[in-house]
Amino acid sequence: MRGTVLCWTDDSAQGRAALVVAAELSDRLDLRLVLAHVAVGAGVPAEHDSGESAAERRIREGAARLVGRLAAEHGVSGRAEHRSAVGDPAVLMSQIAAEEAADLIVIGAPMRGLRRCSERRLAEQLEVATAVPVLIAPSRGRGGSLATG
Amino acid sequence: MRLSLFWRVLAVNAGLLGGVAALLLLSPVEIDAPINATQALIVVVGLVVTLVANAVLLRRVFAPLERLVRLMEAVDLLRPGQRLAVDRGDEVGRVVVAFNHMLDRLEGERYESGRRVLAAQEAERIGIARDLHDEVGQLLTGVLLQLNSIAATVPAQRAEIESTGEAVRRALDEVRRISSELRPEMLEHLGLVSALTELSTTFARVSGVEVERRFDDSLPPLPADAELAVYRIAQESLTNVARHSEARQVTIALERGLGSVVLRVVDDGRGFGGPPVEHGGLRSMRERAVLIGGALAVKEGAGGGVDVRLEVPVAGVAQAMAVG
Repeated sequence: MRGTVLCWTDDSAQGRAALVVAAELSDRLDLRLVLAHVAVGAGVPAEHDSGESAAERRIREGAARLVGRLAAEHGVSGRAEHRSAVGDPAVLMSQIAAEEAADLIVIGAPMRGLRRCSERRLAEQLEVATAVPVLIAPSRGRGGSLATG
Repeated sequence: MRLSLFWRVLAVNAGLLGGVAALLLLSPVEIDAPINATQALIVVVGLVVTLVANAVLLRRVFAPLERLVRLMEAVDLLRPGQRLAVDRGDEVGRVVVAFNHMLDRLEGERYESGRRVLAAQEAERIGIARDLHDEVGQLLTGVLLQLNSIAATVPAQRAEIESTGEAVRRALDEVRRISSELRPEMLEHLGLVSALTELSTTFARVSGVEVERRFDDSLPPLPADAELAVYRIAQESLTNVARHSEARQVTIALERGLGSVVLRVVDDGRGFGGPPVEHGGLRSMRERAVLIGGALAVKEGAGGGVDVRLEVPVAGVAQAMAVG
């Protein structure tokens, strides 16, 4: 009996905090862990087979490498499944959540500064775009952790 | 109260034009005829500043529309349930509401038409399988019996007749295999696990790809339509492995999920080499998954091949079928 936790992650401290929380949840509750990163871009509509430009391919491959590297750095390579895509983050995350039958989406807390607005928007958009509950993982620096030692 | 799009665009342009007019009225700028170089420079700079300011302001006004278009382009009816956020009360918000209603309608129609197409396809397959088995199979069996009887009467030609008989036997086996693929009788009589075992055994024999099977012992029962969809998706996945993957090994698994049954087909082939192209077989798999309320993910596997994962909620099947 295994559910699925889907984690949005990236190279930021917040993305890594989300990965740590998702990995801990997955470990404790025996949930399947899916790590995802959506690089912002135009994306290629699913039914088009020749629409990917060289730049888009580089972005997609970069996103895939990023997820693989983060999984390796956090020691979850062996058990985490990877998803990467290029396009609108909220739309594609909700799509991946539907495809993976996710029971929970974990994302990082909004950053301070310029990116704060866009990251808060992602949480708000996910709230509308998917029926899957969204957990915002607090940054370690703000005292948020599931770890109990 | 939020201004409509029309009034906001008008306000932006009125503000800019008003600013230019005020500048002309209040500043000591004069335009001679013919215009001199300094005055021409002032006019050009003023024009550029006005255009840039206009572009910046209008971009802010139209940004939600651009986002709406991107979201509309990404919506796929075979991934039902996607809806756009209604966070504005202006024209853009009303377009989003209308678009969401249109998606409701289209998803319903798509579900119904997909159900009919797949039902017709299954009926046609059963008809062809029956014809192959009953007509062609019987004919070939008759030819085989005749050959045996001729072989007994013409000992001199025995070797050639036996060789011909062997070819007929192979044709008969092939007819039975195709008939069985078209109408998986094992599924009807012995259930999903037995049918998938037979399917993967035949696949391994025909394709030469090594198959590893992992079937949980106690799986919750699925309705017949859901079992057929799982079987067809497994069949299509294995066909794709044989055709495109260059894999040496494929794992087919049927596991108990969280109130669900999970089918997994994972190969060690060359993967997609790009984003998955979703037409033909993959679209058909997605169509079947939608009809039983399942979640289908087709992605690059950890080992570089393709990983197909179908999760069918046990309670959700009846619900999805009731929606249709």
